[in-house]
Amino acid sequence: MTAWTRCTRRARSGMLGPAFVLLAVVMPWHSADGQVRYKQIAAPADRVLAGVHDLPAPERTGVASPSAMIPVQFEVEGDRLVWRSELPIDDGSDVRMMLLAPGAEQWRLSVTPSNGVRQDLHTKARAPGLLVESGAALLGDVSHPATAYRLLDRTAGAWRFEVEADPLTARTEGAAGYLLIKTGHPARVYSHLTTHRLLTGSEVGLISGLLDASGEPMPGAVREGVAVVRTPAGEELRFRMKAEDGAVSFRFVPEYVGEHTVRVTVRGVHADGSPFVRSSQHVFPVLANELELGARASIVPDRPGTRRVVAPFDRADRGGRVIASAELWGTDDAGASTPVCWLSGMADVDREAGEVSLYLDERWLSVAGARAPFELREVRVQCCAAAVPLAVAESMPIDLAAPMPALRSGVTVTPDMLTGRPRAELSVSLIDDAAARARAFAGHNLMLVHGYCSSGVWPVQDFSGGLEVFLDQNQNRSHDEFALLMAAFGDNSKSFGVVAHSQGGAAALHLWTYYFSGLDWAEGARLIQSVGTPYQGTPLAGNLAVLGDLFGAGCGVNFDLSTDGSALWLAGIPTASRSRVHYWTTSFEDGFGFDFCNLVSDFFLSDPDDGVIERSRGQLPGANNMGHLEGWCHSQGMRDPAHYFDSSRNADMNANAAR
Amino acid sequence: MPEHTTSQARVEVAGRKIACLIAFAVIAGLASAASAQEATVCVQPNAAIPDNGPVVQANIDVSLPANAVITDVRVGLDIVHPWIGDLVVTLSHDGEQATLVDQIALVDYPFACGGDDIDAVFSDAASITPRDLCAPNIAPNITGVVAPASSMSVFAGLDGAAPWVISIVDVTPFDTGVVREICVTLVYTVEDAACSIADVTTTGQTSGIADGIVDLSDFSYYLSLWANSEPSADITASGICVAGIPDGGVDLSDFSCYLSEWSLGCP
Repeated sequence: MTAWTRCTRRARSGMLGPAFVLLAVVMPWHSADGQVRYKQIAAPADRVLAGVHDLPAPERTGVASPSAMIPVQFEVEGDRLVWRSELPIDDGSDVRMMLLAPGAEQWRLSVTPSNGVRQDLHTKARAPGLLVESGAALLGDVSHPATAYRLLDRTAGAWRFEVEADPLTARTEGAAGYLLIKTGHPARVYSHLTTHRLLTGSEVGLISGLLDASGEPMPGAVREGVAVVRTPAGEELRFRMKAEDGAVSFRFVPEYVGEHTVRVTVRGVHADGSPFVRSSQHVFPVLANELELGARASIVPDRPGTRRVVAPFDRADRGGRVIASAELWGTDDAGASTPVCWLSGMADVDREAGEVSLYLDERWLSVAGARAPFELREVRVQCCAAAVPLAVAESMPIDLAAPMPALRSGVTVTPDMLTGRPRAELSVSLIDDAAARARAFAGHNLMLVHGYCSSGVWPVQDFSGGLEVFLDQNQNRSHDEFALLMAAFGDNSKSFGVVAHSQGGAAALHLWTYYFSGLDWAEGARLIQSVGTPYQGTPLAGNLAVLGDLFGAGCGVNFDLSTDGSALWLAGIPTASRSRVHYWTTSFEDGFGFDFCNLVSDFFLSDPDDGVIERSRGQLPGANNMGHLEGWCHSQGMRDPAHYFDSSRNADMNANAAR
Repeated sequence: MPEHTTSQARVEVAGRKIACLIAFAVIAGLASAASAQEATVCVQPNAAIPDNGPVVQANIDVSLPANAVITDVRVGLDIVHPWIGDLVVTLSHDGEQATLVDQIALVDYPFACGGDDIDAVFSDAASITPRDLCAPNIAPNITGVVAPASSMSVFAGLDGAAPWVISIVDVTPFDTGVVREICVTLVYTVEDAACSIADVTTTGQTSGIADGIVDLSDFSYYLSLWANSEPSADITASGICVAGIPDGGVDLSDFSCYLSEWSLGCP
């Protein structure tokens, strides 16, 4: 091919409106064999040395909470229900309060600060320094009326709280609701799981400590902690937490498979002796303990240029799809261990053979200059629905079924070495998307994707060309389920780029990482563009899970959106995949008065936030941070406009989108 | 194009049709009796490949010597197309057809391979298929020597008289391309006419497969064919000994003509 003829490369055609309409009629929907092919993921040795794919330490994936969520438990007093409590307020200059419960708008909240002057917050007569903000509390897909109170210029100390309700408006068994309190003091409780091996019969717990304004531990500040665990069986387990290295902790052995919620309340004392209280809420799944890796792995011949890396199980009580990964180490010319590459991918547990396989492009050996002996390190098998490790092994020596090929010089990493090539046997059935089938549309499109528990949010008029508006209304999906739905939806497009909101961004990145799809063929500057995606999770996941007991399940608990779940998931996303993501974060306009996006989430999130995610947790290391804008919130109904209505950014995303 | 000779010369074709049995015998015989030669003709259509059809065709004449018999075919394609999975490419010649490209990797992707460009030689000898090479972010996506979608062995035994017709069609909406260059390489052998007529079986056998040796076995085998009035014994027009021109009947002139050819043997 000559140079001049190279220059005649044709640009892709057919993204214009008329073609869109015509093809809706003539193009039959089809899918090759109804399967989505797995990628055989690999990452270079430097990523291994950088620890990019190490499982996150649980102490780094906890939740920092600046507030306290105190259960309101009514008692009958004559013809009314009353709850009283005295709580330590460490900074009276700015105290925010809210009652959160179904029907809480009919409850009456009174506060007696340490100066002894009782204030009935619900009355229309406003006390000096009292700000009231009424609005909608968005809890997942459900909006509840809520009122936030803010008392300014009061004194710290013991405050008495009283909530009064009519008998028919609240229950008297258990918590009828919660009193949320956030003082002006920046101290936060930081709570994290003791392990990510969240399996039945395997001990798990939580450790809670206190952090100062700069995020540093507060030595000696913790006085006591109480944890309440709600199991999938509906049991409520109450633990008095034990002192442990300046923190408090509890541990238990879960019996049930399913979501567990934990509410931790920690009382502490500042250096000046003033007491305070904070709480954090968590959710985590417990999976059945069904897999146990064996002692030695093997590498066997596969297709030309490829080897199959086999990790055997000593015990495989389940089959099905998992995410398998491992570092491959070899030996360099000096006889020292050297990393070859990191291998990963969706894999099907071969229960009969008792093994799971990864695939090695032999060129990695030449790139690394590595010879036998080989071993696997950091071997792990994770659930694909929530990236919880099902089985792990620190190292597995490798037996070679056949000699490895001779090393070649001058081998460089090519894109196909990072993803492998489609193989029929490495695939999962495409979800039969009847709606997508009916559309019968092809072409190079831009897919507009919504988020968790949501519906079509993007203003279509802000975008041009062939558009695919993904709709999976008000559902709760793991990243993997979400990604497979996108694959099914995108099966109508020859290629597509993604503009995603919230979880849609993570789902698109998951799809791009683990499966072959139309994303692989998209051409253009930005493959995946996301706004307000909680790549590092959101503490709201745990809070909403706890509140779900009161408000109903709503869309349900989503571990992938929690701080722990997102960290486990993110450990499997290679740098090469992340580099194709362009993302934005936003937050409320920082001004006078109530500065927040969402009345409720303001109690749980650390500023700045968009009402659902904190700016810090919206970051995706290795991706393209396109900036942070104030004055835009996560969803409609929040204080500032929803960021998906930012027509200026939408125009930019539209112009630069790969399709 | 990785492999071709660029002679644009057109050699006059004077090929003759011969009876099927004899042709196959000749093919097999030539393989051992004569050395293989190659002829390549390249054309640069620089023709647009319209979206979703119609078919783009290129006729290529490859002139071969008289009595040349094709033993192998290779086709070089240089196509610029941003979605090569849209393409179906066929090669036709003398009533036979082979498919070179048929929506590459359609089994893997709903709209087949989305890779850019083909710059490869298609050969039955290749073990790698275009599907094996289909991968994102590599252009040209299909390079080197690759196997055609269906075997080109259907052309073996034919002569080069008829034009070679390459048909390229984009079968899926969206995306267009350009066919820049097509090269047809024919591997063939040329054998002495007498040898090819007389060599009808393998020594010591009655298989009907030529072995490059004209001996008593051939005579004996032909005799049995002639005695049974087998159509393959019809090698000349009645009364005229022009071997290889059957007249629809088996008579003494055929036997006489065969005897004449047999007596010449193989050079």
